[in-house]
Amino acid sequence: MLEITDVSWAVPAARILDHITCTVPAGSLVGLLGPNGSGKTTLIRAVAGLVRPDTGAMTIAGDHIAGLRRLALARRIALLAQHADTDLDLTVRDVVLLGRIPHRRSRWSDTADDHTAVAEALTRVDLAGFADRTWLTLSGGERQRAQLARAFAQEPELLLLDEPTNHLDIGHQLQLLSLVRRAKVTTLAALHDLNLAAMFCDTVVVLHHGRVVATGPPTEVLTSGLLAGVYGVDAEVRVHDGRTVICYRPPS
Amino acid sequence: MRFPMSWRVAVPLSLVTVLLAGCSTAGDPAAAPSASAGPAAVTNCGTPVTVSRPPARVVTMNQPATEIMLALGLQDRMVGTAYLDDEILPDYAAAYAKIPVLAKEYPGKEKLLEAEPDFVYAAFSSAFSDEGVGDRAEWQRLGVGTYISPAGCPKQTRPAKLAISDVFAEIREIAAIFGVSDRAEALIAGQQARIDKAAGSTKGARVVWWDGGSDAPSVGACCGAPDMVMTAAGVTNVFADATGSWADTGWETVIERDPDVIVLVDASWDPADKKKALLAGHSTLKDLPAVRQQRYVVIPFSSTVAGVRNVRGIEALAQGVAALPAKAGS
Amino acid sequence: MRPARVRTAGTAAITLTLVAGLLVSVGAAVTVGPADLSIGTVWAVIGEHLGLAQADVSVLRDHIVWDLRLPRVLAAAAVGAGLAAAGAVMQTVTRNPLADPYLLGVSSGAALGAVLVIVAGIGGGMVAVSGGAFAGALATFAVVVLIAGRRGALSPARVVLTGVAIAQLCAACTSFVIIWVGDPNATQSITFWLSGSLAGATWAKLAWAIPALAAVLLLVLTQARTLNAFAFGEEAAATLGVDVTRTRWLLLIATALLTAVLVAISGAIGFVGLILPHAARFLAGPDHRRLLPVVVPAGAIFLIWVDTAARTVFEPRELPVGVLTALLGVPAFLMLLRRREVRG
Repeated sequence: MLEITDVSWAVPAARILDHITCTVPAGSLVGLLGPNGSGKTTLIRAVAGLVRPDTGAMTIAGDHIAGLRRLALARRIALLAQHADTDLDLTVRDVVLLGRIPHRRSRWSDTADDHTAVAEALTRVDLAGFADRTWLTLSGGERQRAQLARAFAQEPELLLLDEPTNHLDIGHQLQLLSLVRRAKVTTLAALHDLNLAAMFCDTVVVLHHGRVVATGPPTEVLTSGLLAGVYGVDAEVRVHDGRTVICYRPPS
Repeated sequence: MRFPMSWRVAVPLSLVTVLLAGCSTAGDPAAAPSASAGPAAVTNCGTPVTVSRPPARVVTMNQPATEIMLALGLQDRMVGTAYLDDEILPDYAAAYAKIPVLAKEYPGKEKLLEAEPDFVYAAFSSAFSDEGVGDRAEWQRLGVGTYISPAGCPKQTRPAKLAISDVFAEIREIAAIFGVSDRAEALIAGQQARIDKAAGSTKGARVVWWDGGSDAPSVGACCGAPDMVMTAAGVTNVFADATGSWADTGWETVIERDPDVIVLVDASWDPADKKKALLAGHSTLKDLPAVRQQRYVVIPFSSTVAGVRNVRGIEALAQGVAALPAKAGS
Repeated sequence: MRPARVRTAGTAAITLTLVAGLLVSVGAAVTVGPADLSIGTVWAVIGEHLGLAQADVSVLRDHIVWDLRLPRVLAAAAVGAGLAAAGAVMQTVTRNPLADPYLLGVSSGAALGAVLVIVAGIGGGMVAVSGGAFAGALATFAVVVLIAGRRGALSPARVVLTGVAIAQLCAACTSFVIIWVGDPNATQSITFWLSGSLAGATWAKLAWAIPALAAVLLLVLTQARTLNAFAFGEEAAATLGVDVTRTRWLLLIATALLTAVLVAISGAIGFVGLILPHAARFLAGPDHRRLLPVVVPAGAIFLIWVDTAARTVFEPRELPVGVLTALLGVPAFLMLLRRREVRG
């Protein structure tokens, strides 16, 4: 499990993260919500070790993230970014094998374990027959699934998603998040789409101006009042088939 | 890579020690222009050049042009000189000293205009580039006659294979423009006699003309001043099959051609002594027969620029080859 | 799993073929030259120097083979291999497909160093000029690194822009020195550095180049897997456990040092470091564990034969090899590009 305690980070002009405290319980999928500029991506990057917060503590299963070496961290935390791209004509296998780098026993060769992990990861993202396809021939949805397989190949305790569905159509958005859900890996996911968050997340954490303004199950947190206060939108929150559904109204 | 002739000399060459020999071959400088002086028309580098009467205010842009003018005894027509590469030949030193030097290298356009020339005479086309005083057509339009040494013309209008006769033709054209053709004939006759005398004694030696370059030697090729000097001296250029004036080759090729004699061009930037040291210290070349037996002839670079000095280069080469002992077997 | 083995086996076969091709190329290229020596003579000379046999060959012919041709062929192999490997690493580390080993101003610095040595008249001969070129290359690289890496983090864009700027500055300084001093010898040398030539190869220079090449190649090979992690950018690499800054520094410095050594020997030979990595990716794919074993022998073979052409095709003239690398390399590269597109 991931515990974030009183984390703050500021740049000269602005305080980006302001005393953030939240928890991602083991095995759960926690949605990190908030409008643009609320600090979602920064918090994800801080947990990934890409930025060092000024104050506060982040622990994974009790170990301080700041105290872990980069390689050790990469064996425990995997990040799926918004959008990954390359000019290189890598195969899907090459891409997923990148996830084995933190586990390398040899500087050179891939072990049988590596190949097993790659095959499993591809199966988990429904790309079993895709190992020899090249990156440039994949659709956007397939690329994100290949990256998700790469993240799975890292065998992480914690999966971080940074708005991973931004460039995908709705079918691929649903598919990607259901693959994550199905994987049962502890996950912290920055999400834009509140309906998706309501559909897949166990709990959500809402950020606003770098502060946590609400945490809890989506049904409790996502209220008309919160949406008006944080996002400045007029929306009706209903329950349909046992799920929270948000219907937006055009701005007046 | 060989930079073009015009570029090569269009840089200040500091003093080169020249073996100064021979006597004045110029016509009597005091003699008045001949009665035939009048309009003259020549085609120079593909451009028609006409003068209605012999020019009286001449600026020479390069040393070879300056020396041809002085050799023709025309110092009283000169209002300026420029771009000296080497010490002026002693025969002309006194006359030269009386003429204003406009610039160490090429003068600027304004400086040239200030001299109010009616004729500008250059040895290289670079004189009429942006590096020099600009397009010659501009000067012709101002009524200023221009002339470039045929050996220094742009490639299309340069003689395909330079010969000493091209240098003599230039002297004749300049003399015609200034109405002193009789002086040209005297000058040429004297030079030709010296060449004939020197060339008889070279026994058809096979010569490589090493201009410079230590990794890829630059050698005299088929069609430029080095070959002109070698041909006139009666020796065989072993690189006569290479195109251009100079050519970069490899030491392996030089060894394969096994020359009888190596010409070491002596220039301030690459003196002959340095070349000798390189040959003697080179792991492979030191065993080349011509190197082992020190069969070298040193020729100053300035003698290889088309002009009145070529005869000195020809004499130096022919006499140098004649003075070498017979080549021992390798 | 089967296709993976096929591809691995495929590139292993390519590497083995190329290494064999490299040995054959060295053996064949020394028998080609302006001097008319039989293959038997050439190999007898080499055999004698290796202590294998007695050769009855004249001293001069012995020198042609042992002091002119063999060092030159080996230098072509070393320079080709080194530039190709350095180019592949540079392209990955800066994530710039247009990067080449000279990106950080190394060749411009070398040219300036060479010209300064000639103008200042330090020593004679080419050894001193090589030394000046090496010093110039190192000094330029040091300046680029000091400016670009001031806060420790070495951002690729910053490094590339700084390198380009410093290279321009060096070129301007070189022009200034040449025009100011007006020495035709400096002009000839700058032309040498700019177009690149292997005519000055000697055993003494190889004694520098080969160890430098071997050390850097070993280092780069140990980093092959790490280099793969750069495919999706430095942040992606960082989350895969790569110490991005350290790796980038290490590889940039190592390849720049190697390039400085090579430039001091051969001048700036273009094309090899830019295009051969791309050509090798067509053959071996982008995985550096397969790419590097292909690009190194490919670069060596390529430069051996281009240099052989440079010294023989226009006999008795000799061209600077840098003039021919692009002339022969670009059509070959375009053909490869086309074939690849046809295959899809």
